[in-house]
Amino acid sequence: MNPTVLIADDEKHVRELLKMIAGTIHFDIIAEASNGVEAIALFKEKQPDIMILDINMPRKTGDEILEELTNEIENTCVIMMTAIVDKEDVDKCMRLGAKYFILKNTPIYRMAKLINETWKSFEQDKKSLTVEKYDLSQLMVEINNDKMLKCE
Amino acid sequence: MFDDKFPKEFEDLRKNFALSLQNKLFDIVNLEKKLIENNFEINTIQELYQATHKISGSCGMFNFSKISEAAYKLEEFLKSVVKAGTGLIPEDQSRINDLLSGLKKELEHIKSYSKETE
Repeated sequence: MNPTVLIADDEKHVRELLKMIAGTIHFDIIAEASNGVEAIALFKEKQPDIMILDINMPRKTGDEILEELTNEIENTCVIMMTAIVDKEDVDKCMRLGAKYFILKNTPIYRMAKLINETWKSFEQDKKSLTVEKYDLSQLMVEINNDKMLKCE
Repeated sequence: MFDDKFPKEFEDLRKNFALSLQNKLFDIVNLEKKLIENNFEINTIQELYQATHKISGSCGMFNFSKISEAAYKLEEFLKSVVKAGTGLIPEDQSRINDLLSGLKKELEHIKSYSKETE
C-alpha cells in the first residue's frame, strides 16, 4: 500500500507541484490544505502517513500546527518546507516532531528524492522501535516467569 | 524515479505559475503605494514581508531563480527592520525602495516569458 500524504501550503501552484512530485514517487495524496487551521482539521480526519507542511501559512504557522498536534503526530512523518532557513524555526519544529526541512528552492528532482528518503528512514525507525518494544515486553515476561519459578 | 510525462507536466505548471506572477507584481505595486502613503508604517512592512516571502519561496520551487533572489534580498532586509523594531531611518526607506525596484524589474521580465510560452 502506498503511503498517504497531506500537503499544506497556501500557494495553489506550490500545492500542485508538490502533488505532482508526491505522485511521481508513488505516494497517495489524500488531502490538501491552504491554511493552518484547515491542515489541523484534515490531519485529524485523515491521519496521513506523511504531512508536508509549509512553515509560513495564514491562520496558523507550521510550528503552531506542530504544537497543537504534539501528541498526535508520533506516527506521521512531518516534512517542513521553507523559503529560508531560520535556525530558530528549524530547532523549534524539530523539537516538536518534524523529521526534515526542505528548502523551497531545492531542485524538484532532488526534492522528490529527499521526501522519499525521509519517508523510508522514518518507516525504518518505526519498525525498529516496534521490534525494540516487542523485545522489551518479551524480556519482561521471561523475567516474571523466572521469578515465579524461583518462588515455586 | 520520474516518468517521461514529468518534464512536460512540470513545464505546463510552470507556465501557469508564470501567469500568476503578473498578479503578484500588481500586489507588490499596490503595497509599494500603500507603504509610501502611510509613511513606511510597520504593519504595511509586515504585509510586504509576507508577500515577498511567498514570492521567494514559490519562485524558487518553479526555478525562477532571479525573482526568487530579488524577493529574498528584500525579505531579509524587511525582516531585519521588523526585528530591530526601532523605526525606519531615511537610509532604510531608500534601501527598501531600491530592493523593491529590483524585484519589480525581475517580475516585469516574466511578462515576456509568459508571452513567449503562450
